[in-house]
Amino acid sequence: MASQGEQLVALPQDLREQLLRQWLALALVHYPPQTRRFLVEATDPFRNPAGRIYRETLGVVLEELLGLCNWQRIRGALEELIRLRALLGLKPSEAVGFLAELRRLIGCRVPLESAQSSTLDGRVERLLLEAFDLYLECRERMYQARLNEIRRARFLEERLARRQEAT
Amino acid sequence: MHAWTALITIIILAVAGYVGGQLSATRVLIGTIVPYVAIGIFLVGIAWRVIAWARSPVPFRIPTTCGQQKSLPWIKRARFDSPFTPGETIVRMLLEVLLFRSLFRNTRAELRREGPRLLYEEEKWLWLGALVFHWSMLVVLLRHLRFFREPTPAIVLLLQRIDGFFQIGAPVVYWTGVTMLAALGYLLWRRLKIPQVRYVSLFTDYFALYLLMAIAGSGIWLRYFTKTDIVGVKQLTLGLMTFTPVVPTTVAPLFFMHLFLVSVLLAYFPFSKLVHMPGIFLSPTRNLPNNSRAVRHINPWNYPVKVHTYEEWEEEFRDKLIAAGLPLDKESGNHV
Amino acid sequence: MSEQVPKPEELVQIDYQPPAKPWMDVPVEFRRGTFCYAGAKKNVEYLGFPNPRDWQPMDEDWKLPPNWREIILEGMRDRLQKFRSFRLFMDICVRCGACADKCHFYLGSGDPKNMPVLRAELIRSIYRRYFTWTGRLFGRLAGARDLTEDVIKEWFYYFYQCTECRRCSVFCPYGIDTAEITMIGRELLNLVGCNINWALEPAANCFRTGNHLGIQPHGFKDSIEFAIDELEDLTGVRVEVPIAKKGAEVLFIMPSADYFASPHYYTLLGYLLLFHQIGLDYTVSPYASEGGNFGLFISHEMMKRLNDKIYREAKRLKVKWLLGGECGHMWRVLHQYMDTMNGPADFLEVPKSPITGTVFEHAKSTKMIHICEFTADLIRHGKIKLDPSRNDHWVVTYHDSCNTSRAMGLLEEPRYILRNVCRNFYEMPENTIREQTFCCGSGSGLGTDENLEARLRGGLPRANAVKYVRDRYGVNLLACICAIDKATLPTLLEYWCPGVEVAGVHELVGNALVVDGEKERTTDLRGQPLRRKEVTANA
Repeated sequence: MASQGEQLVALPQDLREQLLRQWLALALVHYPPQTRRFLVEATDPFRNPAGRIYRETLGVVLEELLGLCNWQRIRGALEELIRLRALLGLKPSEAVGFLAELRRLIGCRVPLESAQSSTLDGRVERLLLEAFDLYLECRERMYQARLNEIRRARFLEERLARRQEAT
Repeated sequence: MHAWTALITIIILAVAGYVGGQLSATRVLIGTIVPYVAIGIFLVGIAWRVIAWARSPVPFRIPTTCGQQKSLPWIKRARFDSPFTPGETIVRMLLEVLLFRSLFRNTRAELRREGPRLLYEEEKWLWLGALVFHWSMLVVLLRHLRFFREPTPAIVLLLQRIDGFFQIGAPVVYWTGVTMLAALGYLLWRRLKIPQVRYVSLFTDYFALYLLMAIAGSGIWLRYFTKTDIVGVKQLTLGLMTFTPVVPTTVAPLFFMHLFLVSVLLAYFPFSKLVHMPGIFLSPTRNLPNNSRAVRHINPWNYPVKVHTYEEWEEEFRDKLIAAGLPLDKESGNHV
Repeated sequence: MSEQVPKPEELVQIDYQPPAKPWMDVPVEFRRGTFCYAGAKKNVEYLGFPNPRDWQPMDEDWKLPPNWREIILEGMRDRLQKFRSFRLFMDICVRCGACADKCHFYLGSGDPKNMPVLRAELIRSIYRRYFTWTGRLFGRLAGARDLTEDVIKEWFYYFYQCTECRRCSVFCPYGIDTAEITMIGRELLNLVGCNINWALEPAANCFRTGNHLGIQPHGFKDSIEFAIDELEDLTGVRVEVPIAKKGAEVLFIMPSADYFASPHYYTLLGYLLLFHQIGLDYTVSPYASEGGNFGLFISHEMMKRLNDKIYREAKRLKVKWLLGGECGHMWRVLHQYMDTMNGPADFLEVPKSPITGTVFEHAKSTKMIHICEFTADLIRHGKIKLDPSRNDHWVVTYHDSCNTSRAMGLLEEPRYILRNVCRNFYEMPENTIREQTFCCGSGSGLGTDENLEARLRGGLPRANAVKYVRDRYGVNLLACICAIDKATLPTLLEYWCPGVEVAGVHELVGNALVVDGEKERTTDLRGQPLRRKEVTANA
């Protein structure tokens, strides 16, 4: 039980799957209803890239939050997820808020001891804060990409002007 | 919503056919006048449709190329996905019409965690459902020729023998009737089940499916359960063929429902999406060869447009051209 | 948090498919970051299009002409008679849904009206209402609806969210091509003055000066000379680029971005080096200084007006045949429209490579060939010396641009070139390349600034496949042959998939090409140091 001991909450596979499914459903609330099932059920990672991102990243985050809590791994997954969320035209609170719902989701499915519970609270709280940081980073990255695009479009003009100045 | 309205419409039509087949006055109507009118509408309607399409010209050669073009002789080209000659184009059309080539393209990639390679799975249910339905229907239609020809043509007999190959049941079960109904069921099921498809579905999409299912269902029922008077039916159909209609009283009312629904289908056909059948032959993205650069395509309504000629351009930028030392056609401008 | 989020207790029952309103009852909502700004009055006026005015899509009042409904319906009637494609595609769709998950905008945004079938239904519903008797008689039951101003707004929103990439048309059992429907839809919108500036301004510029950016002849010359100087710095070889030289054998037409934007510019360097090394007798023209054609994104007529310059200039310069650079939609126009619109090119000769003697029979009428066809032929005949180790710092994948793949079938030529000029080449997954390639999400005049979020969403399927090869094979360069790709894929990848650069195929040719009299090359054409890897003994 040594390795198991480091798990925060040990869950049977099917319960974890259920949790993931419900969490995913919460994430998709902002999508048009006709599309949600496609996002969940189309398994081709190239035909359904958004669905792939949701499934993969939420799976990693859930696994780590309930387990060893490797923040580097969480951050990597979260970044990919938030990159998608930041483009959906949602308010920041809508884009990341669903993450916090995990706490309540687990709470009503799994009886937790108080120590477990407070650890989990702390983790979810940090998750949310990280997500906010990443949201902002993504928006900034988008604006940066936008600026770079404009500069690339005037690449030669700028260099011609620079040469003119030099001579 | 549409699914329900369409279902109710079909039920009303079916009941009308059934009841109509029981009353002697309407039986004559359904057995003679309605089929004639329906066939008339069908023929005129389809002709009108196709003529309307054909009257609109194809101004540009716009095939969708689904494979390597013909360019350099040592590059292997996709003869039938990117045809160059008319012959190859015909093969492409045949693949499309007979085998539903485009629907067959639905590959789905699957990532296998352990393996190093991507796995491509074929996602072919829609293709299979559509193919089974259309081919079954064709065979069923051909089999029905036996009602319209005396003696029954040999090819129809052969078809019947193949179709009833397994010799199950009495009368022998023709598989195409069953597969047609099953395929229709699948097509209906996916329309209802897949949210995106359901969202785009119109009344007519359900109506066509229900109508075909009702026709197939009543046909099957007539053959295996009611076991109606075949001789009477043949009398009626041959009568229709020879323009000496007779309506025998020995035929089950269910047959009149079947006949009535077929009439509805025929009359409805030219005005609905079902015209995709003749339409596909005219589709410019499929029936044109990808030889746009080798053979000039003529646009019958090509008209002159306002352009910016070189002379106008040179005049407008004369000073800049001179300053940059670029060659001019006319050394001095008009305005000097 | 919005109130529609259910409580955890309710989550167990959550269904992915709550009842939805019929799409006809969902009014269009102009979401910021999704639409493009309206065509500026001066451009509308310059091109002589109807209804020039100051307006924007977010305005309540679009200032349509008073008889706008008649104009649209008359325009539809006219086009139904002129285009069999339009008439047929209005009639034969069975709504099987095979196209639904093929559109990159749908996959990226989830907006159901981005499904090709529904995008077409936007206009089909009007067709049924006014041009079929079932629609007139049964209305909604027959899938028909009235033409209102909201419909116009919806058209504008969604027809300028389609990149005319034709991917859906590959999967459609009847070959229904949404690009065709979008093109007609945009033509209709243009009739009442609803167009986007990012399509109109390049068209207006191109009509006047000869290229999309509005670069005038002296600017064109400056750019070319800058490139010549820089090539000399990089390789020690001074190339010559004849401008508007009469009697040259070949007129070379490239997209204008090649001589003003990055990374297109490095592709230009590649062409120039290649032409120099093989001693091609060619010329470029400041009058026909644009291969691209934003007219394609406005109307068939505008396309023809802009395309006119190419044959006209070829005739004036008395060249023998035409060679075209790396560009996607440019090649749709050249391959499928130019000869029909502005031909016959009977004053030209069938293209024949002066180096290999190959006669390009497949272009015997249009008399224009693609640079990749030309270069592939050179390599095949061993007429150029290549040192692929000079591209060892790149791990390359190839992105098929929509138009060269689905409106031309140019699939193998660029791949053949790439395999010869670099040593690390990996394909993206099968259902994202060749005829199934995913669009960059910025084609057909949508590659502008204000709709960047929509573009990034639409580009997700492409970026997702690039990410796969980046993570798996360490791909750090995406090669392509499309000017719009080169302008917008760097942005897309910077957001979704950092660490992958974008380059033209002929940039890599330029890197690998061994030029007579060149100095020892220590950098690539971008000025980055080369990192040759040891060749394994049995390579």
